[in-house]
Amino acid sequence: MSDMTMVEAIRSTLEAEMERDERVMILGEDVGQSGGVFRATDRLQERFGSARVVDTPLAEGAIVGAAVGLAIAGMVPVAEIQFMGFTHNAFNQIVEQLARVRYRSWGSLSAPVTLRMPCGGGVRAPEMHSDSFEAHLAHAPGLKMVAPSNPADAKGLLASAVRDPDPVIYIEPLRGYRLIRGEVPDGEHLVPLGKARVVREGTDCTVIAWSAAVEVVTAAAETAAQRGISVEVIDLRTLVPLDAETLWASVAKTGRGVIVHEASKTAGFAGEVIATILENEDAFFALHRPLVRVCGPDTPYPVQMLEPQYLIDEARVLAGIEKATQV
Amino acid sequence: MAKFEFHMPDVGEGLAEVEVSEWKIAVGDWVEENQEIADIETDKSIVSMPAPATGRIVHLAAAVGERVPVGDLLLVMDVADPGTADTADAGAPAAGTAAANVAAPPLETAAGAPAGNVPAAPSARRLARELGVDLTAVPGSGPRGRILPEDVQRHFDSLSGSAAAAAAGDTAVAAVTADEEVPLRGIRRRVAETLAKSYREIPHVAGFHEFVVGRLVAERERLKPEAESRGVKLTYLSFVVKAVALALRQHPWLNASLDESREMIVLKKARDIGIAVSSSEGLVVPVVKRADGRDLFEIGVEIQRLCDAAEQHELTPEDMRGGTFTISNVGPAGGHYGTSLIRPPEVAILGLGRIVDRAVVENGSVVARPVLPVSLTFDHRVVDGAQALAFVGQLREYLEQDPGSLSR
Amino acid sequence: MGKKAMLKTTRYRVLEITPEDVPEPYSVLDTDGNLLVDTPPLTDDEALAGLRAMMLGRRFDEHCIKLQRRGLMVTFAPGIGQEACSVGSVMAVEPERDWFVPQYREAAGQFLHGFALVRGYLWHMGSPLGFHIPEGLRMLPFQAAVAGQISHAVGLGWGLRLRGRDDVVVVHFGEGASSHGDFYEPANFAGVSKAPVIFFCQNNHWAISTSRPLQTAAPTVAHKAMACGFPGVLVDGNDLFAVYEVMRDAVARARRGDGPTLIEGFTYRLGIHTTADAGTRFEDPALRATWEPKDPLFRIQRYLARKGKWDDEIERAMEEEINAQLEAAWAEAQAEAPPSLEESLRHVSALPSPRGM
Repeated sequence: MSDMTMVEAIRSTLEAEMERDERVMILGEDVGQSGGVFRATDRLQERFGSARVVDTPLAEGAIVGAAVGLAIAGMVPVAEIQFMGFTHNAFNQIVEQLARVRYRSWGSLSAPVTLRMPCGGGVRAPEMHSDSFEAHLAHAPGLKMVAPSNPADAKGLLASAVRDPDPVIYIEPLRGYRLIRGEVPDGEHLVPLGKARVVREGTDCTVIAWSAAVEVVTAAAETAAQRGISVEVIDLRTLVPLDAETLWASVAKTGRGVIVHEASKTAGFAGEVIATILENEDAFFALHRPLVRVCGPDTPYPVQMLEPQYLIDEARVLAGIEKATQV
Repeated sequence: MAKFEFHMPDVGEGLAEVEVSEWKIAVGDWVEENQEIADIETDKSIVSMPAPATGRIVHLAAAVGERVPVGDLLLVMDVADPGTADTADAGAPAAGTAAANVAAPPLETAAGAPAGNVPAAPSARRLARELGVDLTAVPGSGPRGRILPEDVQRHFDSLSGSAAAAAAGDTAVAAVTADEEVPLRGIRRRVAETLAKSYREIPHVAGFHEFVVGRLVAERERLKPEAESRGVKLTYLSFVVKAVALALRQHPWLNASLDESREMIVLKKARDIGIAVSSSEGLVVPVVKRADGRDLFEIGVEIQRLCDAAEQHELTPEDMRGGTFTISNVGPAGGHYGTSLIRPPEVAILGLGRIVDRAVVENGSVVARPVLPVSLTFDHRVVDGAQALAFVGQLREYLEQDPGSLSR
Repeated sequence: MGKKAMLKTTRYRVLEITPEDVPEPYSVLDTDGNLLVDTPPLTDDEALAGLRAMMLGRRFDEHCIKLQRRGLMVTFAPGIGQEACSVGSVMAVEPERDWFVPQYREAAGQFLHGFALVRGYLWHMGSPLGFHIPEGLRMLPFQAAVAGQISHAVGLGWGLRLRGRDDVVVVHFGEGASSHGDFYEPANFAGVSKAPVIFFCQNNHWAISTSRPLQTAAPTVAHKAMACGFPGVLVDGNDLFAVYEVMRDAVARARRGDGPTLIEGFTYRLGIHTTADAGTRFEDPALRATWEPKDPLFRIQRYLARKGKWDDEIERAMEEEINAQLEAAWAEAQAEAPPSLEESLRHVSALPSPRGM
């Protein structure tokens, strides 16, 4: 075990994967000489050369589109989109092209591409640099999506994503790059895609989160426990494909649920989580109360002065738990 | 030559209708596949329409200037060989096959009593269903009258309490548990559906008759040694099956079915006699096929085989198929008279009671004679009372007067 | 090309393209099939093979239009009049190693590159089987999203180089696509990465109804290469010889590692945009009339006729052979059973979604 921050876990995993497989390459804006604006690729170009760690022109569409072609040529590209909000510059290439390579070649081609991107706010970044758009991409068949909440998962999910034969969107908690620390297993460590984790067991209410929100939710669960409410915390880890079994088992047990995300509420991913829970009889007929969403309001992500009010904090999660656990 | 109908395809993307601007051919013309035959004006442009096949034009379904909805008939051709015409289902999208592949799964009907719109969370509804509690009778103690699981439990306990009170006096009052619930499945569900439909839709009329069957008893005794030597258990049912099958030959209106959709009464040529047999899974009705053409012993063997198979749950779908008339034999279980429900699409069913000695008046004096009680239930839409009585008369002839004819 | 109002100053240098910088498209044959240069870039046999490939594409397109009108095909975009562009391109590469990345109007070139006729039919019937790329075929599936394929070609060429190969990639698109971010971004990428890619723009003068002058103020599409730091060439897109020659040079350059080239094939959409939208509402018949005599098929036929290699009899024999080939492929395509929606689930990811249908 080693104590690491999120960004250290990501960097060291990229290094290990490039060492393991010479087809693995990194491309993106500022990933080479500077080592990435968050230093997630720090000194990798020094180590593997500028052919495998490539500073690209500033064009997200071409980064993703080129990754498609690189993959068809036999490379295993890990492309960085500098901020999740910029995925929209590449939206066509991600959802129409990357996601469909296998489908629209009727299984004859594939695109083992990992798209890394930081997501979320809370670091006083400029406008449009703090978005959480996981729901936009989760809707495209052909994309998998993971969102680690801690350094050990960051390592295990990234290694699994790089080795997956299909495209994986890998979402990194921007605010947690350095703030979230934890023990990371040394050597080979794979976390399977599609498996959620029960962070904390409880009997009164299930709270579901991913990425940076897991830390906030876990803190709220501790406080709730002091008030006599036993909260079960689930970290989705993988959004697509969603681990429905774990959600069903937990809600069937507690009969109450709260889903937490920073993104705005309407058509957010919490809606998909809730719908999935309601499709299961054991979970549905266990419900005592309507499920509760704790999400961002339906505004664009705000500029700095409004950020503290916008962000999900422990108090809002606690309020959600209380609402869900009423008679 | 074969007819080839060509329906207007969607030649654009999502067109609703088109207009025929010009026919370049006329009825009677011979055309080659892909030869230009018309100009078609769409919302967007004028396009040339090629012939869909090689052959002779026999009908043009639209005049010049007429608007033709996509999917409607455009023309009819006589084609040399239908196999050579590329058959497009023009109304459908070129590659659309999905709809045809989707078979609707059978619907599971909602279980439990409907609880109307009383406010209750899913958890309370589940508990109510498990306990057999009618939610509409449960007072809700939650916000705005919502029924909580505790309310359901309390309501149930109070009902159980009154049951317990009723049982007071017992030294040990056992806790009343919930009623056992058995899902309506399999044969039981099919029986329920069939009989409900029968009772709902068919005007049943039943008649009751007594056959004095001394001769039949004697005839059976006479045939017993032969039956035993052949390894056949010759039951009265075998005689009745044979008699019914023969009588139906002369009374085809009782060996019929009513096809309501076509408004047809179908008089069946086969005399396939269903015999209602109870099994652990419910009532089953295996069929003695072509009973009028088999001799008594064969019928006896077949009945035995079907009853054994029913007991072992080994009846095949083939054993159950067909059936033009049914016999329900309640005699062995001690039944006397009863009306039976007709099994649609059949139009009659014969109930048999148990043969016992009864007082019968013969030549002015009362004597004890073996009597077979019989009930005939018929569908009054198809069968009249007189027809039914004539059929019963024929049965009486066989079973009462001349049972020997059944083995000749 | 119209006159430009030059920015007048002597204090700093203004970068502008002057009328003198705008060449006529490079031609090797005139419209009557006369040779305009000393030596033809293709032998007579090669020219005949190229002509046959163009005719096959033309007849396939015509057949598909008829089949679409009969309701047997989905919306179809023919490449009628533009066959020299894709055929000349493919003749300049080696199908067993080099890649052809089409848009959707390149049937003639695709078949020459090794794409089976039957798959061409299946593709336009709306069968996903037409999208399957058999082992060894160096082609990407046709691309219905305009310009979407261009960055794939760049990544593909770049990746082949990273894998130590000197194979090249030819990507086709139209002048409409050249207005798209999905053209500018990868073109710029290719300049930087020196990807072995030939960007072949078939300027057929129409993007559905949008005419060439409304598409760009650049004097030629070929000039757009200059902003990305690599050469551009304007070629007569109805001249098989000229297309082949400039492609041959661009392929050699890419194979050497000198990077991409943008070629603008100056051609005309003699067919329709698609079966869903003919040009009758917006197309100036006079403009069309100037292009009809420039049909790429006539030109090469006249050239060969003059050399005694083409006459009515040869033409009839070739037409018959092509028709038989098309009919056989069409019959084969019709015999293919359509795949099921369940089967399609297996091609979304290597492991199907746990959600199933």
